[in-house]
Amino acid sequence: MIQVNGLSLHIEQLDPGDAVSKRDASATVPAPVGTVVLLHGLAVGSLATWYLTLANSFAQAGLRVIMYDLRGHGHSERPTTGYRLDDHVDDLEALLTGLAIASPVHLIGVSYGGTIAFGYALRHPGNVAGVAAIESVPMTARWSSWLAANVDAGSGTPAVSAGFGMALPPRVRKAAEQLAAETTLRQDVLASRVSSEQEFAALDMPVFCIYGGDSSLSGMAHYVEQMFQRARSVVLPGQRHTILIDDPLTVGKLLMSWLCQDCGVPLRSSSP
Amino acid sequence: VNPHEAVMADITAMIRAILDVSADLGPEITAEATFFEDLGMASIDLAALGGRVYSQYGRSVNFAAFFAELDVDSISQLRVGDVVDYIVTSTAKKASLT
Repeated sequence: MIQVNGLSLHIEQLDPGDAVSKRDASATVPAPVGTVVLLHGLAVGSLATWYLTLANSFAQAGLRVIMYDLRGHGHSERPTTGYRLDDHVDDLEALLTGLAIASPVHLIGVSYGGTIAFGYALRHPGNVAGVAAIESVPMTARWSSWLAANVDAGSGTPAVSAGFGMALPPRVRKAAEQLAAETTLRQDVLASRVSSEQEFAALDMPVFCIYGGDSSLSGMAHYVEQMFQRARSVVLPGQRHTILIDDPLTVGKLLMSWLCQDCGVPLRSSSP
Repeated sequence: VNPHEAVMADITAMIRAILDVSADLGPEITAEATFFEDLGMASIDLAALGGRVYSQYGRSVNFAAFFAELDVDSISQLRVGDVVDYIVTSTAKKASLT
């Protein structure tokens, strides 16, 4: 756990050496070739989204991997209020400061985690080496309106999921409903400050977006790609909003090639 | 001490801590128990267990790598004994290397 903005947040980290250890436990921990911060989605997500999928691949490629549960999620503390986009950006900034991360990091977010990554990049561009977002859109007026139209007036978050065409397991749905009932999450998401496309266009770091062809967000690929100076997007046919869980192998390959080619990170080969 | 028994005792204590239950109140934790259905744990609890295992056993046990090789269905059916086996195998491997 790490103390951030007066809250206790659950954090997990992997060093490049964690992956090396699989072959040789006595090997020394190599210096990381970079740092990735992995951000999960709202209401139904936690750091497990990453821990159980691609976290190890990133460590194996030589990266330091940082994952945390957003406030209110997973094992992190759940305040009743404070769920605007800027609150999440403040948490991320405090977390990176607390960990004394000096070099710019690569932010990789899924769903709303990508929105947080874009929001952070806008406020702290010097701290960000690149942003990759899976099934995600920056918080522009267009995205805010989409969210407003898809968040139902009642319990909130599950209806957002309904908008993505996801069938949630009962336990996950219950947890999301509980989060919505106990906090101002829904109101805060919709009350989040929006930024213009022009503001995002000022960012010059590499941006990469992945969408599922069968997701209701696939139409955003062109919109987001056009918004940034150095953006690339991929739409994977037949995939849905849950693409990271459904096909981590393909998503992992795409992210690795982006880190390597677009961002110039000297990734280590994963073959023994 | 049988390594399986020692690791089982460690894992049992970690699961109780994550679920925040005492030995007499919580679910019965056996090698056959599934994390999700029998113990009522969620994926985030498994990730937290990975963090605790790392703290206790160090780099020789790579939980993230263990999970990465499982698909969603396998993770949902994972049993306590599977994790214990993995830790015992990993730590034995380390012992043979050093």
